Amino acid sequence: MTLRENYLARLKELLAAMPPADREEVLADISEHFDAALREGETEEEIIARLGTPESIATQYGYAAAAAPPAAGAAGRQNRGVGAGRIFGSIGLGFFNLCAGYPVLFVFWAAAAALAAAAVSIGLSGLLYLVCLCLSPVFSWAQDSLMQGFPLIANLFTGIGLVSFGALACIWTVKLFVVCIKVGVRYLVWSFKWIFCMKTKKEGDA
Amino acid sequence: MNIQFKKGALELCVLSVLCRKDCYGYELVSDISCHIDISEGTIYPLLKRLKDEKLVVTYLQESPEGPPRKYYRISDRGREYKDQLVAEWLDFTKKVNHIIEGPSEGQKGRNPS
Repeated sequence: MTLRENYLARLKELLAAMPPADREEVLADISEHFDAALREGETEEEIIARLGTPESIATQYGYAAAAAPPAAGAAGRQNRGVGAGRIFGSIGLGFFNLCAGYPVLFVFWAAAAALAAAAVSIGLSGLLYLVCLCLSPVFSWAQDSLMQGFPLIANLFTGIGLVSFGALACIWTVKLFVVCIKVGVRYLVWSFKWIFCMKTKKEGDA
Repeated sequence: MNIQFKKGALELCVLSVLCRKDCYGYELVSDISCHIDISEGTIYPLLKRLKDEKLVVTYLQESPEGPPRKYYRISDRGREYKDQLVAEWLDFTKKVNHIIEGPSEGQKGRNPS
């Protein structure tokens, strides 16, 4: 492989996480730079010396040299820095999760559970009300538990209203639960990914 | 020269060159690196960002010496942004110069000592 091919291959490797179309454009730009400079009479060594390392270019594009082979020199030092940052970051994230992240998730879940309980009991109370209404001509205790001094139609509507409001609230709470699950899962996945170094983009960028 | 100075000024330099003429990558890089000592590779990420921010646009143009080249042209938005950067730069360097040179005789009198 020539120096130029080596250089472009290394850059491609470092930009592996970049969207493919963008990456091809970057490689084409650098390749065009080589063509133009060669035509001006520069050698590949000179061109590379002036371009800087593929690692430094990838860093400028926002992709740190995390996939670098454990070669000595600047790249290695940079990796150690990123590693230390990640360890402190992970500890920080762990504390944040314990103090804020998990409690907030728990509060959301508790609120959703409370709303679900409320919805179910409203619906059930409506059903019971209707049952009492049906039994009221026969049993006096059923008669006693209805609203006194109202016509039959008012009692009927009260029961039906309670049942339908309960059903509607149940549907809402199901949706709320779905949102809670999605948010919770996403947060957990994100925080685990972060801690276990699955994403290496945008490190050492500052 | 200090690397942080260069980083900050590079965007301004690129936009200023493009204000005068459209350039292909190598041409732009050469224009700047003959005045300022930089890693030439740093200009390409900068150009991509300027393009993403629609401050410059690109087009392909045939070259007499080989395959078509990618040219960069500054947009209207880019010109406005460059004017703003130039104004900030001039204002900033003027103030820094004042500080470096220290207060002149006329200004000294204003400060109680």
